[in-house]
Amino acid sequence: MDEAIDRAVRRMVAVAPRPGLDGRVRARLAAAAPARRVTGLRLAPAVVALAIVVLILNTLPRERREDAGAAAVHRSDASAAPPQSWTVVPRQSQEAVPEAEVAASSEPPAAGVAAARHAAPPPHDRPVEAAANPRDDTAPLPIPSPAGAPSTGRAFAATPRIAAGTAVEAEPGAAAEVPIADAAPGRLTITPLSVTPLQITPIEIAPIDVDRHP
Amino acid sequence: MTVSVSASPAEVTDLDLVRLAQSGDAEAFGELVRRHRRAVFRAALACVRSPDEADDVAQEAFVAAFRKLAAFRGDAQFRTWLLAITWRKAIDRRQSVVRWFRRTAGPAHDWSDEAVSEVERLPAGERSPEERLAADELQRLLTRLIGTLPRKLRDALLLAGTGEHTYQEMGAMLAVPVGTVKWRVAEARRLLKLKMTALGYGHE
Repeated sequence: MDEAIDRAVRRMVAVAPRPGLDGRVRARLAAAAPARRVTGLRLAPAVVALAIVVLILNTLPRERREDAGAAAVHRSDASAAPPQSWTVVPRQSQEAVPEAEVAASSEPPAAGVAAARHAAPPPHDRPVEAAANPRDDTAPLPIPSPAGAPSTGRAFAATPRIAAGTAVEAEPGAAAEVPIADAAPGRLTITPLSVTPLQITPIEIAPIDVDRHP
Repeated sequence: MTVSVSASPAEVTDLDLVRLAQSGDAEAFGELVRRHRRAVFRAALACVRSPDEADDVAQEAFVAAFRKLAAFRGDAQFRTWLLAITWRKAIDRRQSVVRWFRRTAGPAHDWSDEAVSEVERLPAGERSPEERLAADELQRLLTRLIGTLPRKLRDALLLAGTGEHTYQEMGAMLAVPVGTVKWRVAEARRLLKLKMTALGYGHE
């Protein structure tokens, strides 16, 4: 019985491989190598596309790339940001200005107003939207901190009349009492539109509703 | 390394050939294929039980071994490592859906009609036609009974029947200890004898 089993098993598996197995293996290996090269070539367009995207991102103007980030900084913690320089760009229309921002203020000007300093807008600033207000006012322009705390003393530097293109120093979000035109001083909110670490950037100042002032 | 395949291939060890192949010598890997093609083929045949598929599995195993050759550090015998790769490839083939469909839809494989190695054939001149007929009938019956064995027992029995693999190599292929391999072979034989006895083909 054992012999019959052994014979049956051998008959099933003691078979010689067909001749040329090593040649077939060699052929498979030779066919596999070009396939791997083709796989590499298929990835080449994706690599080129990725390189182009990286190149484009690197060649973008620095200020455009930083605009979004600076806005996010302002939204997250405006009061914690250090005083920076701004360029005032008066807004043409006042419809978007909240009531609270244009309410008249009877508070006296805060002490410690910095000396006025003029600065030309940097070349990359956006175009001035409106010409300077032709009306004159020589009152100082205090800018209290957003939370009502005393001014830092280095908060503001501008001409008595905030004109388009004027450079000011203020904490982001600080409010300023700005006498404009013939009216009494009104409270403006300086809202930085963008922040760049090295250069003056444009902001928008909500215009005063002069009719509301006494 | 100063070993050369063409100079004295018989004296070159598998490890030497592996080192040469790892350094880019294609001829060295060819020599490894020639040395182990029969063991690889029979291991695959023990699993997939079809010479055509076993040939295919053997090719896949050699290609896979060539690709993994850089990872071979020589901790184990190259032959054992190669046979383990072969067995995994054969198991994958056996479990593939395509093969199952082919076997189910196509004609059944008849082992008795296979062109078995000539040395395994019984010498016809020593037996009468009746004895040869009875022997052939017994072989066909045993082949069918082996097919009905549990897969683990059948794999061990067929691997042992190839005459190409040591118990250590079989243990490495089946991922079980050597003692387990021996027990499976013995158990397969015991079950076959029981079935044959039940069919009236002799006594234990």
